[in-house]
Amino acid sequence: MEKDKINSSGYDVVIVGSGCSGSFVAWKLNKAGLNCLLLEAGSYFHAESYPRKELDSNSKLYWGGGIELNTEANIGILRPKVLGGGSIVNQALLDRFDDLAFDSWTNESGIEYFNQKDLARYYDEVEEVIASQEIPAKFRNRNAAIFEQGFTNNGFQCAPLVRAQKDCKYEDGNDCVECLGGCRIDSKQSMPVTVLKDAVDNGLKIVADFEALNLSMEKGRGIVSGRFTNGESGEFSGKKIVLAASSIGNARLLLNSGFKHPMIGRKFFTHPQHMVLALYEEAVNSHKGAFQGFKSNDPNFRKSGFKLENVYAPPVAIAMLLPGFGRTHQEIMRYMSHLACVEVAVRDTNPGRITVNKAGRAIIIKSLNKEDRIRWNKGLHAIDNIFNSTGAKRIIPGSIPIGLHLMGGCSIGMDSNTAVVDQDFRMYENQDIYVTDSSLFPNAPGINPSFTIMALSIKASESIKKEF
Amino acid sequence: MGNNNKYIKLPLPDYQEPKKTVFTRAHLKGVEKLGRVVMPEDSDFPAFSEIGAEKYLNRMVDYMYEDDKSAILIILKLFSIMPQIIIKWTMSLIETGAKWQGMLGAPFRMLRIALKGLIFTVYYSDVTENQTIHSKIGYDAKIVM
Ligand SMILES: Cc1cc2nc3c(=O)[nH]c(=O)nc-3n(C[C@H](O)[C@H](O)[C@H](O)COP(=O)(O)OP(=O)(O)OC[C@H]3O[C@@H](n4cnc5c(N)ncnc54)[C@H](O)[C@@H]3O)c2cc1C
Repeated sequence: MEKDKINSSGYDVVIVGSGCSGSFVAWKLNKAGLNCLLLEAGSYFHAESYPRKELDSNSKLYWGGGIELNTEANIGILRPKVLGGGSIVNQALLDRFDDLAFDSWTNESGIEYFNQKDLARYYDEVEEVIASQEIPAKFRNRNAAIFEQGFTNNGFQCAPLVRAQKDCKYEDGNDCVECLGGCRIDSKQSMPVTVLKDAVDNGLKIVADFEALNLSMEKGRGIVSGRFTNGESGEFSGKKIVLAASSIGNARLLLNSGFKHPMIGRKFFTHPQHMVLALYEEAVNSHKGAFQGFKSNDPNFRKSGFKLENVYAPPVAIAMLLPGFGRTHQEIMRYMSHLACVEVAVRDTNPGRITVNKAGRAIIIKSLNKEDRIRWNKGLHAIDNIFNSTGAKRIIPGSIPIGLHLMGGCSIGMDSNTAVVDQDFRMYENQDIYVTDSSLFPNAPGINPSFTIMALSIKASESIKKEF
Repeated sequence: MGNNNKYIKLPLPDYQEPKKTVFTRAHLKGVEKLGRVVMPEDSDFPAFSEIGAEKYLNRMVDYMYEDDKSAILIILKLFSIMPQIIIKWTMSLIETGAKWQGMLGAPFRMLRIALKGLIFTVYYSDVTENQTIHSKIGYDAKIVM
């Protein structure tokens, strides 16, 4: 195991969590000459070792064996646990935030730099190292065509999706739905094939299979203690600690370590996404080619607080979305190749809360308020119109919404009473601890978050660098 | 940066196996009976019992949180002694209860995810040597290496 070859102390910065944020911070600080250690609870997989079966992808790449639930068990939380975090399993769609998102962040946090102009150079820097591409029209599948046709029929506006990918070799017959379990041809621009590769070449130390369980600060030194997957315990220390374990991971670590700020774990958002399936007479083959193609780009949708995307998933996930069991289930599943799918993602307004139980397990309290339900219903109504206008025989709403944009819990802001982190990304409670990932989001932007997470992580790295 | 090499590999060890869960004969009997209810034999679909689920359960259950795992094992034990018809009735009740709003429906939704998840995950992952399920449902996603 790597810990034998790696020093446990003497680091300038110890980073917990290797997702979009942790990897970018590690890359930037390492490049700036700091001695960094990156800790990750999940395992390291690469193109040749990614699990091939959905069963194994769920188990090996996510917390809790695939899915976690909120206390009401009406949102399925997908929380990546793998070196590279969400960048390994996500759909890799990149969107810059718009004025609406940034203005609401400034209102909520009091921070002035939340605007397109001030953050443009950070987005640009991400684009220098993460290749992106508009999903090529020629490789969009029939699911995307139904989406586009439905939008035209109903006078809605849509736009092609941009994805962090390069050379997917669609002409060879590749189907990108497969890369939800890790890209086996290194085309998806995940952290290990981009910034981590660069940083490791430059001396970054990484310890995977190590779950941070406790964080303490002693005499100007941050100590992260925890457990390796094989049950052994371990401890690593550095002058500064960066928390990039995502909303649930950060809140859980801080609460279990006795941090007291009353806003830790609060203001938690998920963009609940409801996948709606529709059965067509002819085959749709939603799993083929570039399985996503379009997003809504309709100002009315944006104002109404929801967005739509054409999307799909492999068989286990689709089976779980269908109603019933036995014959009822089989009646639909035998026509899986005739299913189209559109998802609505709600820009949720009702803040949830992450707390911990006596055993230290994260408890996710999150529900939708009236406004969220209105947004949701508007989105579902638009989807009905899309499917009805394109000849769907039957519309089947997914049985459970999914939360996979996990945001907030250590929100950023100018007021130490209502925010956990200051505008330089330092915790109010302890200025040697930084939070750089999606947990600092002050509210739900209603836009795919990963691009902004990476951009803000670069900005956070500049603040951290100033301390050395 | 990017994919100039064939594949990019960091100098790190590959993944670590978690602790193995031990299934008793009762647990396996419970899975088998639940499988017969959730995925019965049909002209298109092989029955759940044909796929030999016991060989694959560890690949799922070993990764669950301890308290979730314990709860599942208790339910499977119960199923092992319940008549099939009662299991079917229980599953119908769970589907109905899962529609109830708020905390009232929460236990039913948890059970629905856990029990259907157990069966569907093993079944639709097409794990067996003869791998027929994906072809039956027309799922042929691939990556050409
Ligand atoms: C299926 C899926 C599809 C998605 N699609 C898109 C998309 O198309 N576009 C988009 O913008 N976003 C998408 N997202 C969301 C996006 O991936 C996340 O917002 C992003 O990865 C969050 O980055 P992060 O660094 O905050 O956290 P993560 O990427 O989740 O990384 C956090 C890491 O910290 C580790 N960790 C947690 N706790 C500990 C601990 N105690 N000790 C050590 N390590 C720990 C975790 O294992 C994880 O690897 C998707 C997410 C999923 C799951």
